[in-house]
Amino acid sequence: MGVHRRGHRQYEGPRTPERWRFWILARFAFRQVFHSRLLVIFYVLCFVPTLVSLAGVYLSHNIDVLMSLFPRAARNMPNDFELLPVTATFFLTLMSIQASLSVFVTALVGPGLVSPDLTNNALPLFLSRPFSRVEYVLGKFSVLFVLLSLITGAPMLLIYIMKSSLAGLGWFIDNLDLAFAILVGSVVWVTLIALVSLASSAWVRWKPAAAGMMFALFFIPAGFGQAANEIMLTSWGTLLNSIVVIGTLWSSLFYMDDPAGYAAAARDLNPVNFADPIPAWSAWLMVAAVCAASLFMLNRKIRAHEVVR
Amino acid sequence: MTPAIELDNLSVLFNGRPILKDLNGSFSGRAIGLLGPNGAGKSTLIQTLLGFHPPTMGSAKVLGLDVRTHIREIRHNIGYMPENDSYITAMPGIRLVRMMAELSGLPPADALERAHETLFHLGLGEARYRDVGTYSLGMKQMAKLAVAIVHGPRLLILDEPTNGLDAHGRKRMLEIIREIRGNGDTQIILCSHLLRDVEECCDEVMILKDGRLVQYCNLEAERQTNRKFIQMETRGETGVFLNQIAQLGCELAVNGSRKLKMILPQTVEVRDLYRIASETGVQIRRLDFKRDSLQDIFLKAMETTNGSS
Repeated sequence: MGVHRRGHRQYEGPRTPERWRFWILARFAFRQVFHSRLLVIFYVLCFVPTLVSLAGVYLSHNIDVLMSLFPRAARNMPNDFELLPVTATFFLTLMSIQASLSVFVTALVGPGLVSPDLTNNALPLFLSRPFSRVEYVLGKFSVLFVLLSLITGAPMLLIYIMKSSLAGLGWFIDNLDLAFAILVGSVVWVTLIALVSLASSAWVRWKPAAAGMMFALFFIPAGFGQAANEIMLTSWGTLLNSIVVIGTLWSSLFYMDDPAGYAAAARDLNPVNFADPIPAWSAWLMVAAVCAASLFMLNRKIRAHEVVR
Repeated sequence: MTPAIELDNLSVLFNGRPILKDLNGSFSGRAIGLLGPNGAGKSTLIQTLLGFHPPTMGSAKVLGLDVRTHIREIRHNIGYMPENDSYITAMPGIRLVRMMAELSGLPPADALERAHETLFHLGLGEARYRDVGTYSLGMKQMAKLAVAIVHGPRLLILDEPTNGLDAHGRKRMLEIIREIRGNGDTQIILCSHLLRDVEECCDEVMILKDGRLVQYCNLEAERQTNRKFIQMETRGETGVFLNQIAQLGCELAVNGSRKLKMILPQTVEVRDLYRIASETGVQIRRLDFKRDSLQDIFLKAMETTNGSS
């Protein structure tokens, strides 16, 4: 019978498992997100640094190819020349580049995730189903988590794997701490930025304002922190500078076994007029506090309806 | 039939302020009307049944399942059409309805098929690929109904379904509600301030006032009872006619020579009156069933200042 001839009837068929139902939201959101041509173009451009790095790593191990292209330069090249040394510093630099790009992706995608549902009062439709508030947030979070992981952690792990395949099993084993740092560092970063974005999308319903708020959260508190440092002659105000905080956190991961490297990285991150960089534990605490605050804000807003008190 | 809702001393408080007070009762009609003035607690009751508010005291069961402990199972079996605008504007109707079906646990293929069926059934077949934001008010109401029924719920909760509809749209909406009720598989809770809508669709009515259940009325039983109370106007000599009617066991009250009021016993039908009138040469010029309209019932309930359940 044609669908247009059928009336209302009960559904007797099988049901999908509840465990993965949050993914339905993500599936539908991806289609919506990639409708934007601007986002697609920008998202593709986000892979350029990774591709350049991959090419650099490949050429480092196939230096003959490079030398055949530049024979004069090859003659002056030292024997231990390495085109692109794959070290903690390399990954930390690449992580910073990719993370900066991910802020723009978040600003383009994040505001469209929660605010339209709140503006259109769509939450009762979701939450009157066998679908909890936690699953709703998880579904929206997973959209950003997947998109951002694909341009931060995933390409860096790809570089790590490629380097391992070129340098051998010994390099892979010796540098497992780098893989760990990439994995944890990118997960922490993506979780932080995704939760902040969802929270601002829930509280600021006008999409351009929510996108602007993402950037404001990076720079305005940093200004206050700087002022606090100047006035109170302390360095704790730096905790409001999210770039320094996340940089410190990544440094603590990438230079886990290299205190001198960590100290140098921390000095580079901090403003020149402060002698003491913030300790790594305070950066971890700050990130945890921001994530908790974002979850609290989401908890206040993601409700089937607002109780009039 | 399983009771759609069972309330046992149900009370709901917001910030210590009682919104629902000691509601009791078991309602198993195919279509249950929920009436009451603004602020009576109708929406709070619906939201409690949907698990949006936990009961503060007492308990509520939906389809035999406790809202505190089995809310996910309840939501599998419920379809909810909210009163306010509630949809995702930047999404085609078919995708919205399909997503909601999937969130209710239908596999993607079944969800898509049922979304097409439902939209065709509700008259949105031609508009199903258009964004919901471009729909007229009537179409949006139908889209909300589609979202509520796409997964074939056992209990359908409709909050002001005819809000903002023109005469044609209202007629169509009520036809669909009656059709769903007539299928026999789905029970309906219809919350409306339009007494006519409730009267046309429901067979049980609960009236709330100040958070209390002030009146329960089985409209079907009421209709049956009222059918036996008759007012009549006659022409001609009524002596023999009245005698014969009295012999049938009718209670009579004569008002003047032409106007009669009578209560028929269960065994006597109206056609018996016509037969006797014909045999005794009396003309029946007018015959009315006295009917206590829902409006009368509602107004009586509203006059109850200290209503009790």
